[in-house]
Amino acid sequence: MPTSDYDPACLPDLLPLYYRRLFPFSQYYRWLSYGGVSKNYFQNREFSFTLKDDIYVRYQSFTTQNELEKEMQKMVPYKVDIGAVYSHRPSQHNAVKSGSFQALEKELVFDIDMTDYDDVRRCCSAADICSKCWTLMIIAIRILDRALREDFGFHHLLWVYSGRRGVHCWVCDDAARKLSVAARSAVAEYLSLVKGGEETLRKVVLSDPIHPFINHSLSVVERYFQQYAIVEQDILGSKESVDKVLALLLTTHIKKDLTIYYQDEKNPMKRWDRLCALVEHKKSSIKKGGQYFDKEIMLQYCYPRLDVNVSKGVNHLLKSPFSVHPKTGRISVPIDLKELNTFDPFEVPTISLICEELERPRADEAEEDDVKDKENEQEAGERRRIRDYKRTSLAKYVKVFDRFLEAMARSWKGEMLKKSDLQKDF
Amino acid sequence: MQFSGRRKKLIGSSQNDLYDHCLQFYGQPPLENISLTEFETFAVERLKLLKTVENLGVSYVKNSEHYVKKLEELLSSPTMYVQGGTSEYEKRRKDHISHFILRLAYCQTEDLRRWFIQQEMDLFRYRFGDLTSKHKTDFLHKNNLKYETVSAEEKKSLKDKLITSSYGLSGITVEEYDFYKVPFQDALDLVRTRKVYLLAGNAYIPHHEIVTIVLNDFRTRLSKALAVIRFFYFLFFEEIILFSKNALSGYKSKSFIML
Repeated sequence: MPTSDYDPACLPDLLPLYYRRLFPFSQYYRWLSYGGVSKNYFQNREFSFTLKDDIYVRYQSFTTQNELEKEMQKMVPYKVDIGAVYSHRPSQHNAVKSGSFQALEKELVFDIDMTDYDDVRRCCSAADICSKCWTLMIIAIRILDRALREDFGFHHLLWVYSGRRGVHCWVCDDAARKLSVAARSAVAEYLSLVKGGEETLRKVVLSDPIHPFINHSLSVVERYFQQYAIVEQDILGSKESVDKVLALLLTTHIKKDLTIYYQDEKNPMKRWDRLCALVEHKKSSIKKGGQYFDKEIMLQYCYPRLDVNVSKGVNHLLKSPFSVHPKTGRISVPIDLKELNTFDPFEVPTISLICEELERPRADEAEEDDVKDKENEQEAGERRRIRDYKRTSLAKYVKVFDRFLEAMARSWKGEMLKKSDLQKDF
Repeated sequence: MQFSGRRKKLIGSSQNDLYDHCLQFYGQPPLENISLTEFETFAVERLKLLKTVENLGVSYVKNSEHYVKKLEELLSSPTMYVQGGTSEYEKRRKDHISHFILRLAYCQTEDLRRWFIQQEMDLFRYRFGDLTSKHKTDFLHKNNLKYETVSAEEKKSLKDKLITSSYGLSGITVEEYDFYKVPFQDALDLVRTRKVYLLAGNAYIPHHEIVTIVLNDFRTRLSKALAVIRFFYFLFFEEIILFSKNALSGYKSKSFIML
């Protein structure tokens, strides 16, 4: 059982330990400094903390990694959010002339929340998730990751499990961080296919010609649809859910045909096949419309649902990677896309687990390490911390983060060279 | 490319560099001295031109065949020429200077600015549309709109994708028309509505859409410039030193600009 039982009441005791010995500050700082290509990038970054008793503090900023560590160890935030890089140090924003304090840059972010799919998932609702509906997150990640890389040309994407019911994507390319509000909103709209709230029955409408992006997305959805929707979610099982599906078909004669057919045919897969066959048949008829009903249904049940407002704002604050989720205790860990099919949100370590793993007796560390510790205190502390998380289940997730940073570091190097060339600084 | 900031009279060889394209974004103000007569003539003629553009836009559907033909007649009429100078260089110089003079007159109020921008945009749209494909690309490059045309091979390999992403295109039009690769940040309206093909951060824009993008850029630049001029209006004006070959050296007049 990989998760120790987590009790939110233990947070006040576990968090100090987490921030002292496990939180990967050095990688975190390395990430947010972006290679030092831009001056004061880290210093002008806003963080917000949610403290005990839901006290929320904004405009936190730090000058060094050390200061960040000390503050977090002192304040022991229950939640940490990351905001924008501003024109001035956020902690001094009150001293700045009004109007001059501006959000300048921030990663392009996406937040996929399982509750947005409540109208189309039958296994869970609200904050719950299970292995059945987790497939929706896999589909979302595959579709968005491809589009952001292939269509938009971004390279440095960090996918993070939010700790409870969703995933976040941090697009960290230089070009992404510099995007305007209008550009972010345009990207989010380009990626949006499911539109409308509770009152809207038919949330996906396709018309000719079908854009290549939609075709790519459809081929991902098609890979998962039968197993996910027909088998696991059983959307053509009960009368209630069948009615919901049929409500999306505007053509009455198809509805009638299916209602009659479904009276005898109970096998959901055969029911779906019949629906597709009828729609296909309709395609060849002269009258327009309804040629994509089957595709629309698949998209409505599976296509990623984004909150455009999260992606739009340059100053929007989003939960930080490696933050703890107070309700579940799970750490917001990076997701390795190479292992996406086997990622299990229920295997993600909780803070109680990793704190407990820390207490276990050291297996192999030898005295030579103690000798090395006689050096510089901070370095020793850091090395100890690096050894520490390596002994816990957090290790493999920090490795994913390391690989992400390494890939970015190569691009920073290029940037620094370019810059020094421009300044004739050889 | 930048000339010395000092206000020297420009002669000879710099002609080729200064006006190397018949169309421009009016990014750099003129740096020469001109006579009072030229100043007046240029301004009045451009104003007449813009007013005619405005009238045409009311009488005909903009960008329709009639509209385009009429505008063509206008621009080739003798009144567009400076007396005694009909060279390409003269035309371009006049275009440049007259535009900037009118900026001063039309920066003052929101209504004036809006009117001026609208007519200048309509004029620009026509002139850009009239360029050959090569001249269009030249123009884009000279103005830091590093938009490459898509090669024939690439178009061929992407043919199906291009057809299904832009409205009203067929296999034939994709082959015939030019497509431009534009960074997606410069084509947000098309990206937002998914009306364009995107690959590696570039939007593949068919040539009839590139005008929209260029126009947006034109409007943005002009709008910003007018706002700046408005701000520095009185300061700016002090800087205009007009002298003529006659006895009007150092003549300065604010009232002059009120046409």
